[in-house]
Amino acid sequence: MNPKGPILGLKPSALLILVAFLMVPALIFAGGEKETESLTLRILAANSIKPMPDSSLVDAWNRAEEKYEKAHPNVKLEYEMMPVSEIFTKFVLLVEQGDPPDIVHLPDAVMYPYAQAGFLEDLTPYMSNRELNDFTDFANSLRYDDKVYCIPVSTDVRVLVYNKALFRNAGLDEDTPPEHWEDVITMGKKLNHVEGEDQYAYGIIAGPNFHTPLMWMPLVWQCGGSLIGEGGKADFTNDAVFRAAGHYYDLIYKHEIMPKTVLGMDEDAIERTFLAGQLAMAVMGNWKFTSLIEKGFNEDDLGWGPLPYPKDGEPATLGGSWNWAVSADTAHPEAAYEFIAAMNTDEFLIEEAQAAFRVPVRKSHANSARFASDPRHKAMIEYSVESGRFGLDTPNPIGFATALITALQMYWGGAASAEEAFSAQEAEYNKTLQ
Amino acid sequence: MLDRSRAALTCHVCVFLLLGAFSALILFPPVWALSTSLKPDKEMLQYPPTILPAQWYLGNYRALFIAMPFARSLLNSFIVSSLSVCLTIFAGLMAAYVIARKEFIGKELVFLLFLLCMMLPGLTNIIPMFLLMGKLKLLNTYAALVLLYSAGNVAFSIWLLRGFIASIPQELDEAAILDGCSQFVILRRIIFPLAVPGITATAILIFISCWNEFIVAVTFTNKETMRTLTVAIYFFKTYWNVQWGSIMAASVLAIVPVLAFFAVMQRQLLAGLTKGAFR
Amino acid sequence: MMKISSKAKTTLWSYLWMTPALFLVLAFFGYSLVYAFVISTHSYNLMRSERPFIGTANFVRYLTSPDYWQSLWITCRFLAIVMILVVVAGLLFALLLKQKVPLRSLFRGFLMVPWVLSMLVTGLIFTWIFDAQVGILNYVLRSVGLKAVPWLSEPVPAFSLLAMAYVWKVYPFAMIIFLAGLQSINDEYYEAAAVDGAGPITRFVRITLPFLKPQFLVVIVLLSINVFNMIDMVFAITKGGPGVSTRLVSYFMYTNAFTHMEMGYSAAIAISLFLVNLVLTIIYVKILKPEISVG
Repeated sequence: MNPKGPILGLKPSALLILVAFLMVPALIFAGGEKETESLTLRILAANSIKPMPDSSLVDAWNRAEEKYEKAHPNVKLEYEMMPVSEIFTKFVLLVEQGDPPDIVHLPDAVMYPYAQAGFLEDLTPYMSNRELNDFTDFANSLRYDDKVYCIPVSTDVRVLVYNKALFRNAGLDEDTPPEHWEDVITMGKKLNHVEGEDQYAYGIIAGPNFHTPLMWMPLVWQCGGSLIGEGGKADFTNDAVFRAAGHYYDLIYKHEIMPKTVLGMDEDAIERTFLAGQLAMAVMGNWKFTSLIEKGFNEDDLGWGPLPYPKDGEPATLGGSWNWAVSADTAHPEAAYEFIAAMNTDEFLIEEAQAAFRVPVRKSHANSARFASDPRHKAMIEYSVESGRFGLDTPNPIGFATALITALQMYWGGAASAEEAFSAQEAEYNKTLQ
Repeated sequence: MLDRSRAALTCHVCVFLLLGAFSALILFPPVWALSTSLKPDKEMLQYPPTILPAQWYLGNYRALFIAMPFARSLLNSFIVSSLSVCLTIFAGLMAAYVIARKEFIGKELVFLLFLLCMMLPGLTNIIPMFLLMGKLKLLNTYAALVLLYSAGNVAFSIWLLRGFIASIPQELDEAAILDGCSQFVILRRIIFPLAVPGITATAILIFISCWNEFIVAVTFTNKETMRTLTVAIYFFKTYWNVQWGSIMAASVLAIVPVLAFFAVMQRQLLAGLTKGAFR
Repeated sequence: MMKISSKAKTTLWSYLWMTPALFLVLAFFGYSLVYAFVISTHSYNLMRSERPFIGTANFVRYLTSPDYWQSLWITCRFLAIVMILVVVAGLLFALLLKQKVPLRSLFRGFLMVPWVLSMLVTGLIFTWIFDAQVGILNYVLRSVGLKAVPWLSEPVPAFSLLAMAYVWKVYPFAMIIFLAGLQSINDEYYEAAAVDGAGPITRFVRITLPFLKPQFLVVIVLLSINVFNMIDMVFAITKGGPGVSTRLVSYFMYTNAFTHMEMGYSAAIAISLFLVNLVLTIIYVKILKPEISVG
């Protein structure tokens, strides 16, 4: 047998030395914070914050960043990025161990509890009156205790997306998406199985992920009800909720125009299914438009419409936003705010909303002529400003969403009746509020 | 006579065919991943799916290196895994030697302690370790990951190495003691060379385990530059946009080095494990 | 007198040599375990600054929580199923590989490939293959006239998918262990039995299986521990869904810690997992004790 040496071909004593030798530079090289003269701003963000290298926003972003860096040469920007699902937890953990980032870029869902727990800095004093009065209704709904803790960049809404080609093949007018729930059913029946057994009329995200309750929530508002009661407690056992949940339940089991496989779908799955031409209509976010077209969907066949609502109800949809916030424990709140302001110039905000097909959060921007050139975008903006609402003003939005996910999955999956599923989850959630 | 050899031949043919069939079945997932990684988005997402890519599209691989410092992730994984292996074998070998060879007070308890460490759910460690590493300012460093991986693997390596060492005849030790050799020399000159297959096997196992580890890596590294491979792959599954092309390409790149390493070392690995690892 | 001092000397030496290993283990596991015990008796929610001592309230909470018992039951079911599959696959492949057929090493290499992938990557690849709408598997099923299976939207298919991905990833280690064990069985036993007129099945049951008892034990123990700690794959494929049908107890613990920020509660659950692992190991060792030697 060939007495080969250990992994690195060295004798044990040499190996010992090597280990020690490697550990030291590794520790230093990749080590922690260094004391420097300049200021370092740590920014914690989801990995979507910076535009992809091939996107049209990259130049705008870089310009804004360069301008800031020129104006503040002694400030070093350090980005820490991670998936959206991790960012909630990571921020809280960092606060817990006393080393939070200076700036954080978070979704609207968590603003309420973070503000309540004192993790965020009140930014109202830093903003001018003009800015404060320029916020759209949606942006204003993000305040906690009437103070601004987060500054939204742009809003998105949930809409109905549909495949015009399938509409034509089913003999329907390609420019008339269903307006009411009743239309969904009648039109859906015609759109079902036009291109074979696997092609369905309607699809929603109903898998065990965060989007599921957000896509469904507006239906409750459309019925004139609400999911959140006094003090932010859950109120799942009212008629509006049962009616809203029942609508999708019927689409699957009674009218059979929605496949049961939606119960396993996340945002990616529904996009793929729509792309493959297997869904005539789907509830998605407006941010999907650019994505669908990039992935090869024919732009002329891509239609959108407001979220269908019941004839005896009112239009409503859910809005969401990505926001800048400053950590309460930061040593440099002014510098942090200045960075946020630099990345939030009118110029950049409008460009961002245009490029990403999102809705501006300043009234002055929403009325800007820049959007008039794209009637589709303009219509989207009007719809959002009118009907978009924020849905998670409760102390524990993650727990809230989780409870809804479980209730919806159990009911739609047939594991429990609506009453059982919703009352159980309502109790579960309210327990966590104590 | 003829019957027996014919039966044996039939048997061998059957075995050969079965092995072939099973191999094809088992290899399908990674091969499909490879095939997918060579298709552009449009082709990848169409239905019915194409079996082989229409053309070899390298855009997914190119995208990996543009979109994020993927090469850096590969390097990070390599550094962390190698250092962990070194530390684990270093600590594990010494401990395994005394457990295999020496009688000392509390030996059963110590061995039980190491055994118990393998049973503690790894998740329990994450929170306290995160807070500890934060206080020590070791977040986003190689050191944090290396220490955690070593701690996680040392018990397992002791279990394995103990078996290898125990299979080495004790007479050799005794002869060396009579010759006046110190313990350290015995370890170095006698045990070590004979246990090399076992050590190699253990080292490979630990390397692969560190290379593929996910939960700890994702919790302890925020910075893009410190990310390991598995975390980088997970990042492609973003909230809105799962880039399957990138995921498949990245997965292929994650598999290839370890696969190559493994193919080369396969013989040693198996020789090591067969030499009485489980006595 | 001499004897005692010599043993003391050996003991000192031994502990000295074990210092690095002990340091790693005590500093990390010891600290974590103690920490887990401490916070499990407090109400520790990351979003709230008050962390009062609440004694055994967390333990009572999960012991009376149907969610916990359901997760435990799901995990046990999962463990039973994958254990059978892993043992069968591992043993089968080991038996096949023991035969002296051409290209044996090549096949052995192929059959070991799942080992080098990470759980996460395996999960992602399987998710892609098993996608209900555009995955290749459902396409094949439809092509041969069967119905496509809604893999991720119904409990039983989702559970099966998770089990299949896990077994695919994990069987090589069982295969190797069994292979090592098979190669240590002296061929003379088989020859003697053949001479006595024993058929292949009898030889298998009477010789092979008993000889492999230590290997069975190792596979079962390591597999149990692994399943109770497994979370990467649940993360990658089902995230506990649909509903809660694939919410393994480890994932249950993870979501309590990182989604609900309930550190104290999840620490209490972690301790319960540890005890379950411990009990399982003791049971296995007791059943197969005669064949095992330690130290």
